[in-house]
Amino acid sequence: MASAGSGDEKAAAAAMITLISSDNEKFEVTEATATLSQTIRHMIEDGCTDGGVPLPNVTSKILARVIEYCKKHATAAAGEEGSSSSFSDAAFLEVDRAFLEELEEFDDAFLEVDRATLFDLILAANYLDIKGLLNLTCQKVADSVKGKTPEQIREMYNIVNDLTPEEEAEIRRETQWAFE
Amino acid sequence: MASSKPWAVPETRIVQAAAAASGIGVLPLDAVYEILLRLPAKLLCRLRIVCRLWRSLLSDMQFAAAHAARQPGPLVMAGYDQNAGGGTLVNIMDLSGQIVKQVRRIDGSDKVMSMDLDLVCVKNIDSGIYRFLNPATGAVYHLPTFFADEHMGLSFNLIGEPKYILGQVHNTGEYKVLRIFFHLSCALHCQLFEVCTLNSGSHSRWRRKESPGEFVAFCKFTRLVIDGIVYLLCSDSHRSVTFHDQVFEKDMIITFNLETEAWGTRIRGPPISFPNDAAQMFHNFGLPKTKQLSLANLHGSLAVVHGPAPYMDFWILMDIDKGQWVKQYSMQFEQYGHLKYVHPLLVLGDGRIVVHQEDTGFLQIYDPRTNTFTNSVELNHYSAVNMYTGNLLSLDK
Repeated sequence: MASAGSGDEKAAAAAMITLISSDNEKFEVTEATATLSQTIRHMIEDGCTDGGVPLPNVTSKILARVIEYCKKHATAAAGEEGSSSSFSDAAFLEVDRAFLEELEEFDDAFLEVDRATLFDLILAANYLDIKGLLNLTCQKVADSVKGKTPEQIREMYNIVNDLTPEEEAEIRRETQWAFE
Repeated sequence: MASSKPWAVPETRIVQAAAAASGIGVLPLDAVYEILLRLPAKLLCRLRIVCRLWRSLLSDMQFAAAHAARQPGPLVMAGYDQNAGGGTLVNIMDLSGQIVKQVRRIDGSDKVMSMDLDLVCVKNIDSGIYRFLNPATGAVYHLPTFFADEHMGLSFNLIGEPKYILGQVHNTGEYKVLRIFFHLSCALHCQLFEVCTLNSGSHSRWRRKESPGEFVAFCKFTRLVIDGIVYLLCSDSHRSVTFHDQVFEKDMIITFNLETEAWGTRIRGPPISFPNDAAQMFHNFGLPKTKQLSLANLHGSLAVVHGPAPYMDFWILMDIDKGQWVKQYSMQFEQYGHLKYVHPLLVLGDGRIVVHQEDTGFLQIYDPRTNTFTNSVELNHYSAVNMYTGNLLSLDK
């Protein structure tokens, strides 16, 4: 995992992987992009990616979005590695900052999706084990949960309240401060 | 219930992790867990009534620990004097002053005397009764009413308020209180010492402890507990440094082990120096020549704070056996009308220090690199302030 500096390593990083969505659509991505997913990284390490990686839990619509995210962030990761090892000039730090801002803007725009898509992205990020994407999407849901009542949250998540009124009263008593 | 689990030991309270595999609605539990970790403690306590699975997840100590580890910053607790604070007795807030938890006042004559670890020491001024309160769970620990057997009958000749020092036994997590009081009739050693174990039952008793043979200072911030060891500043050393600008040729600090309930190592003080201009400057300001000598906990190490001269020096005890001190920080004040305490509470990850500057009534962030203070939270209205080390999701009773 050395820095993507020399020509040989660049060629290696450019090795392509084929991802196959649940509806049988094929996506060609670079290894650098694909390995943001720990799940796929393990598959590559185990040498079982010939003929494509089937992802039966992810639709083409969602997979396209996930790949969009990974492409952007794979570039970011490569940039970070480069800058931390060889440059420490203020000018380069400036460039880094600009790039981080751009990345933030990308993330914000990326999250402009309806709730069903957001949940699908969480499921995909969880299944593919993409930490950054899981963090991003979970934070988005967490932000939307703030300010909601327990009733609203049950509705949002399709949760059935299986507590008896007595148990509910006991919980309220235990943490009375939270309900004030 | 209460008697079988007399004190709170979070580490040993491992609740069965919530039924691992089953999902909630459309999302798997893993994802729900990740989402909930990102919510504030107060909301999470409310969300315990969503359903059984959430209740068990949100009451799990492992979840609570993971949640605490994610929190952006340390929490400060601050408590009110009697008849102050409106309906509030205690606030727990972050360093921006945002209140994350409030404890309601139930009695106008309750006064918060001190706060340590995750407990608040409250005195009811009308009845004179002390109690310790866990602000997260609402659990109340009453102190034994009377005295140790050997001290019975002394109650008429007490002078002033006893001092209560709360600590936690390092290995067991058990809370203990050491108290010191002055007594008139004892000619030689009129400071008396007692210790008791805090539990929510009523069977705790005070146990008499021998005097260490040394008077301990009764001023603010002259006593401290770190990892179950009580550190007490000796009265002679304290007076010598604060009034006479001299280091007293005796040990400065005595220790008491809360686990063994025995007096321990005595510690030589740091090689305090007295700036030549300090006395003159005090004279110029028309101020009495009184200085601060106090104890603080910095990063889990014992610190001695000396000032206010133009400088406030923080000495850290590096090696207790060798009595080795290092002057880690030296704050410089442009003006020092300060006769009130400057008390460091915490060293932040980037090396900045959270100090309670009683003179300005602010919690301030001190940056040693630039020697600057930034106001953080206004604390003028509170009677006691400290860092909060507990967990707001805790349910132990």
